[in-house]
Amino acid sequence: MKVDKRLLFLLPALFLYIAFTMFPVMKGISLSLTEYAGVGEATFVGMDNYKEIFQDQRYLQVLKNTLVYGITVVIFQNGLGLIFAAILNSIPAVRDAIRTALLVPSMLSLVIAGYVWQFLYAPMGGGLNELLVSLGLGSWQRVWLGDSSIALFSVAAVHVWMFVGYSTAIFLAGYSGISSEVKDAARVDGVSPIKSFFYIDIPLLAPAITVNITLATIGTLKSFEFPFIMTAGGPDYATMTLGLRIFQLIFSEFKYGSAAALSVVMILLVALITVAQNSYLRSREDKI
Amino acid sequence: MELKNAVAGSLLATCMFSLSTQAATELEVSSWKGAGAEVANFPLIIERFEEKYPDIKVKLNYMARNDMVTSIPARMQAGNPPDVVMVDAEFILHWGGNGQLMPLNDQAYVSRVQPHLKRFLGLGDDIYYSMLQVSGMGVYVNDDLFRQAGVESYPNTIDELVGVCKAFNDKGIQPLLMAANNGGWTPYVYFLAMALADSDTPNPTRIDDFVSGEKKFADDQAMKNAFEGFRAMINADCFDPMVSAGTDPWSVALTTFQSGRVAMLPQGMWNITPFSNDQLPENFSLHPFPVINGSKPVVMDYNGPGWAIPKDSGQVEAAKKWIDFWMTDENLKEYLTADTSITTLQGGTSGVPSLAAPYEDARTAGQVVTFPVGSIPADLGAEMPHDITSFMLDPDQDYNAILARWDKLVEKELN
Repeated sequence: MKVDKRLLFLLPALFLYIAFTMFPVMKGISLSLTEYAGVGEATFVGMDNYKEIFQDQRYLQVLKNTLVYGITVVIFQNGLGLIFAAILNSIPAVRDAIRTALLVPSMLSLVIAGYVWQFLYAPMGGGLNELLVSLGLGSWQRVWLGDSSIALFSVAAVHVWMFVGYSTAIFLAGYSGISSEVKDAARVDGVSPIKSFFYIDIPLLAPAITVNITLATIGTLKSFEFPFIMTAGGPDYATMTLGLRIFQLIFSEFKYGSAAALSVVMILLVALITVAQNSYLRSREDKI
Repeated sequence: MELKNAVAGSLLATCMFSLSTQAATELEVSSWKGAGAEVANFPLIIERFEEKYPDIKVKLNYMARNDMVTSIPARMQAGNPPDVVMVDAEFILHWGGNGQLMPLNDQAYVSRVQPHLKRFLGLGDDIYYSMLQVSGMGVYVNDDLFRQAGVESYPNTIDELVGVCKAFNDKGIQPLLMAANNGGWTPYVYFLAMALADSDTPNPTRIDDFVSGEKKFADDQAMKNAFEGFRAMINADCFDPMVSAGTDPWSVALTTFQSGRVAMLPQGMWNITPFSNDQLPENFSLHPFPVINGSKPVVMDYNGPGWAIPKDSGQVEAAKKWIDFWMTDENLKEYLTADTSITTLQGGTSGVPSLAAPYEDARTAGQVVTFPVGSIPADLGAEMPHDITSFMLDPDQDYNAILARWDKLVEKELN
């Protein structure tokens, strides 16, 4: 059998891929089958760590929180991003200046943003509640991070605030790919701006929608920073996400095996959702 | 010829320099204190150490505590750890428990440590570290708001606290903030202060009985009373549970207390310095926690960090000198003054100002419990703050179910 010598050129890349991607993943999977405190010997415990994840009510709540957080952020970040992009695209004079302004929050450090929002959300004298009072909306005041029923959404709102400009920028790039002739033809035919948005813009923005939704999904399902800084998963697990729980298992509880098992679950969850989502969005693109 | 002389001279100088550097021992010390926001007089102490031991050069390797969780084990596993590492009770449990730390039982400093602290220096009979400080938790009081509400004496019990809360509420002053955001730390600390103080002179090993399974949380009246204490405080509007749950104890709670919005704030002794530096609140003091199981208030000790020697340390003798040097009153007091904390040495000098006198008096009288970090299973330590916050937000729930769950977590650990 003759081996194509050109395949030899793949070896360096293959080596790097195995060494820095496959090996750590495999190591993580093997670690997830052990009990390990970071030093000393790891004890093989089989599937015990996985059993605990799927039997413990707390972990199930963490999975639910992560999904709710992900769905909320993906919908609002992309929905608002699309609306902002549509508005900006129709006002070219201010588009470039505003586009930069919209990106400013995403340039901030996550730690600083989380810390600042913690003060804005403060129940006693916090900026948001004080603003609501000054606008005559005192009845809308809430304990944003202390009420278990809304705390997760309060944290998600900060995520949306931070990255909505990012989504807007991607949608604006998508808009630049839409031929002005199509829009002009629609206008000549008397199509209203709303109809034009739903029947022309959205279908033609399909690639941008795919990119935005995929990036936002991956980013939020792994989300750790905002829940860590703003609530540390509280009150009473209301904002505990997979990423944060993994962090706590290692840094607070020294349970490397359990953390690895939860990481494997997270990888599978992210992969499963993004593959399903992507195949749907791609097939939608193909139809268009 | 001149060139030859120059080359020979340079070679000689290089050799001498190299010999002189070889003669000096470099002691690598990894610590999460000593730089950044916690300089804690390290430069002065290091300077004194290097003066006393001119053949030892200290290389302080500052890193955040969380970074130590991952980087130090990797070096320990590779057999190349720092010569000295800063540790606390959690590290002792995991690193000491896995044989990565050198026993220090025969070191001279051990005899200088206060007797009641010795059981916290290691695991079982092995001593693994030199505890540098005891910090503590109590209740900060805004003295001006107390005067404004006409409250003349600090409450010793929850019953008295309930009366004080009424006086504050009548004046429109928020009595207390049980800041529970970011991990439920404050209610956890307050609950433990009430629950572990089973009498006016609490049994210091009480928590060990629960962890060993000898006692059950669900059968313990003092634990149940602690929940009742929370209920009484909530019913008396001592604090708003939801507002407390939404307030971060490490940032927002501090500014809320400093701005005079609340009369009492359970917090750590480490805030004395920042509060004093800001002169906000203008007049404040640190007091013990009002109790439910007795008549005298208690304080909560937080056993602080200290030095340990990894078993594969390359400079054991220098490391032992470093530890011994720190554990002398002359040097330790410099650190304690900067870090506002209590000495671990017999007859040592603490770095606590007079405004914490009520706190120190209670401690001296034995009205003290110890924060159980490192002495309870990790699962239990992680769950208790969440459960207590959950109770705080829904005080009508049956606390017996919570206590039974804690017993199950202990059982799981024992199995």
